Amino acid sequence: MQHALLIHYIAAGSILVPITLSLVKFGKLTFPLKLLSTYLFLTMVLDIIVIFLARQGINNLFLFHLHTVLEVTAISLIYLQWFSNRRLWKIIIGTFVLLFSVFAVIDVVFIEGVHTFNSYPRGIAAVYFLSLCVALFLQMLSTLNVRQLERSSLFWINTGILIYAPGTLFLFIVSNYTLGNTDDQYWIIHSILNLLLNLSFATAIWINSKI
Amino acid sequence: MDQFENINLPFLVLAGTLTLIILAMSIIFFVLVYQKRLIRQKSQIQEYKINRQQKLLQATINGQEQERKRIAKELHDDIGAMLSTIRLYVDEEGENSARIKEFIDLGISSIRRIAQNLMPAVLEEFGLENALRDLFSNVEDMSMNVNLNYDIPDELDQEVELTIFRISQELLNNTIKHSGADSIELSLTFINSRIEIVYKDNGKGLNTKMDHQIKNGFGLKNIESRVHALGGIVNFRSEDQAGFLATIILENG
Repeated sequence: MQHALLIHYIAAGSILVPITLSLVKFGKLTFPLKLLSTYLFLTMVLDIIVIFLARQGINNLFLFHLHTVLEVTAISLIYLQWFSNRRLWKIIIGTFVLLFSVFAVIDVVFIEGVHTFNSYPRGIAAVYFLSLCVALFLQMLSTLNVRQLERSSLFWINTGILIYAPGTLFLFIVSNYTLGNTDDQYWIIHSILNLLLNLSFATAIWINSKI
Repeated sequence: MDQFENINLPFLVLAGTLTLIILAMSIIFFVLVYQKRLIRQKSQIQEYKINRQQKLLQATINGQEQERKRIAKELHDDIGAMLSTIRLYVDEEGENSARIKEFIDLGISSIRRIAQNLMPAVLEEFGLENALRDLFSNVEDMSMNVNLNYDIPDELDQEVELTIFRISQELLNNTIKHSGADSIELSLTFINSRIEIVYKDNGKGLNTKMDHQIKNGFGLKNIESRVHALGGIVNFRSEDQAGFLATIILENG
């Protein structure tokens, strides 16, 4: 279990890599990457509060409800900058974010409650991110405006989210049910995926390309 | 809760997660491969279009040259010969002959000049270097300082030779008509199987509104078309009162 703990710590700390890079390059970053950096910074602040509350023995799950709404809004805003038919996507994404926020509130009040892990909103968010990633890849293939994908910030962000979102989907959905004594081992999957996500964000910030 | 107790939930979560991760990676792999293939296809189509355009342009220029050759031949052989015959008769008639002879001589030399411009016989018979020296010797008569540096092999492709000659003709015409220059320099060098042509004059350059019309006019566009038809590169540079510079790079054949 020592190894598992180490992986958890490394994954949690990996957010510092894209944040440090964005602090170094913030002035030169493109607008979507500035949004991403701001989101990562807020996530880090929430993570610190989560750890602090856990150490104090206070239930910190209400913060996850907040983070999910923040995550959906931030990722939506970032992706909106990249879609070419901006008007149509504004309507689609705006409607989704609104409905999702309402559902998140309903989940807190009527379904899972504020002190339970928000598995349903998380599951829905994962499917939503997956759809955004696929839609953006389809757009990239139809416009062919990126010649070298590996040198595109958009590609790295999309890749990171595309692996993270489906990879964590089942974990989030069943997280409120017991997985027996294998619980921790399953959260290692989340930590590894989180580490990959942060590294792909760091690569995107490092590349700092317009698309 | 109860319904989950009967099934192996950890196994399902693991299998589902792995399946989705593999699926996501497959999508990324597909996008990477397919995007590269699409870009390759797109550039192939673009290359094909450029090649086709180049061939069309070359065909147009060739047609133009053939037509020039035919007109030059007819001017020289038919009208030129006819005027020479008339001149003979005028000599025999005697009355007002001197004046008529003068006009006929003018007509004959005009026809020779036009025919020579349309299709320089010296290019076909004595090669590019002599044709260029011949072309520039006419300008030297106008008390212009001409410096021709010719350093390329004799065996040049015929189309390339003709293109170089036409370009030089066009540039020289521009200098005479618009620049007010008194010195011209033409250098032809052979570097790594490429021909580099550098043309310079010390005229007023192309900076006024009228000069822009020259810049966008038929002459320089014609040079661009001829160079592009052979897949070459052309660059014109000019500053106010600082002369005109044209650099052209052509592949031989």
